[in-house]
Amino acid sequence: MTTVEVDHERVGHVADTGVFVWIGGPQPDRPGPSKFETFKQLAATEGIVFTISQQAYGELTENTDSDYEMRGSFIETAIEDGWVTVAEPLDFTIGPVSTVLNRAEQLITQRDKHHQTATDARADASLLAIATQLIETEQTDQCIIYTTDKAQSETAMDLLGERYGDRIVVEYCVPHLDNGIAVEEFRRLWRE
Amino acid sequence: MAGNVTSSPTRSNPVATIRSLAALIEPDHRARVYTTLLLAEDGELTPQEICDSIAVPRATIYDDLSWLVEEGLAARSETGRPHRYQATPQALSLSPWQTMGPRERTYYLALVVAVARKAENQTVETFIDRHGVETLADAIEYTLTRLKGQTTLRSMARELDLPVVETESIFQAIVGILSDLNQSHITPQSLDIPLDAADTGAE
Repeated sequence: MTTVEVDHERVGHVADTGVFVWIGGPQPDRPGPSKFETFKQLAATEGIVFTISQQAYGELTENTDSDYEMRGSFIETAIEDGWVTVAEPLDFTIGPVSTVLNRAEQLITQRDKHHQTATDARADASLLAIATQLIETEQTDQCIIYTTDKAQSETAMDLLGERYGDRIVVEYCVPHLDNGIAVEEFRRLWRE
Repeated sequence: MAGNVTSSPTRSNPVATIRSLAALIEPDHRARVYTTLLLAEDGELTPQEICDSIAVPRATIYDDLSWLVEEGLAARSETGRPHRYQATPQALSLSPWQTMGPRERTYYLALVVAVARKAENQTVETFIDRHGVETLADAIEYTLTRLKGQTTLRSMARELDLPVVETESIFQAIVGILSDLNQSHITPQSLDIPLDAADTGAE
């Protein structure tokens, strides 16, 4: 396990689809800014840029149904505003990236009672591989992974925690769940 | 309808049994009265207190309470006036409740509350209108599995044959309902609500 002095500006934030479904979903029952506006403001204040996978981008923009249109359009807006970015393709010439992807795929598949397909498992595993790539290419000193899947979060803790120690923080962020999210402002918003 | 209450529980198909129980508390206003009692902070309410919290006519509330007491879904205190009512799923001695495990009870109550709250929860309402109560029941089952770390969003979406975003939306709505159930007066050990971040998901 390694302990690192974290430079606030060199922290990566990798988030899966569920986080943005929540931001674009039902709004708080109170007057004031939408969750989208609040997150945009938080990201600007804290200098946070959320990285999403190509898969998550596709999922968030694929549904042209009117009920979900807001989500599709807001993720495009967030990308234009600069607080969300789509991850670069995985570079399999970086050993740990392919190792983490393959191992995470195995572990998530093992947990799944519904015999997850290889495609689903790879999409879940890619979140962990993106975090690995950000650290291995020294784009970030530390990486925070946000997911609404317990299977994904526990696999990330087991696999990446062992490899990178506290350079990896995993936030299992299910709304209504008092689960100690590390980023104070993010935690407050999540519980509203 | 009453015949369904007294029918023998089918251990081999708890989902079908639970669904038939859920059908017993139609129409919507009866389900709303029931779940208002179920989630009451003090565990019991007078008809007037129910009337104050939901937009259902007082006479209808009295009819629904009588029905719920007859079916064993609620109990009425015999002391004091006005009478106070309590939702007592535990009192369902002739129903499958006694034979259900904590997980099945949680599943059943979540389904009942979701249907009852349809009018107040746009995500649930849209979901039921599009896919029906049976698919909602399946979504609750997958949500409970997922909260234990035994399946994932994408796997759940594939099983339900729904887009990922729509699947996550109903997942988050169901988690909200489970969170309310978690704070209800029902004894925690009689339910299995996996809203614990420290839960390892191991069986």
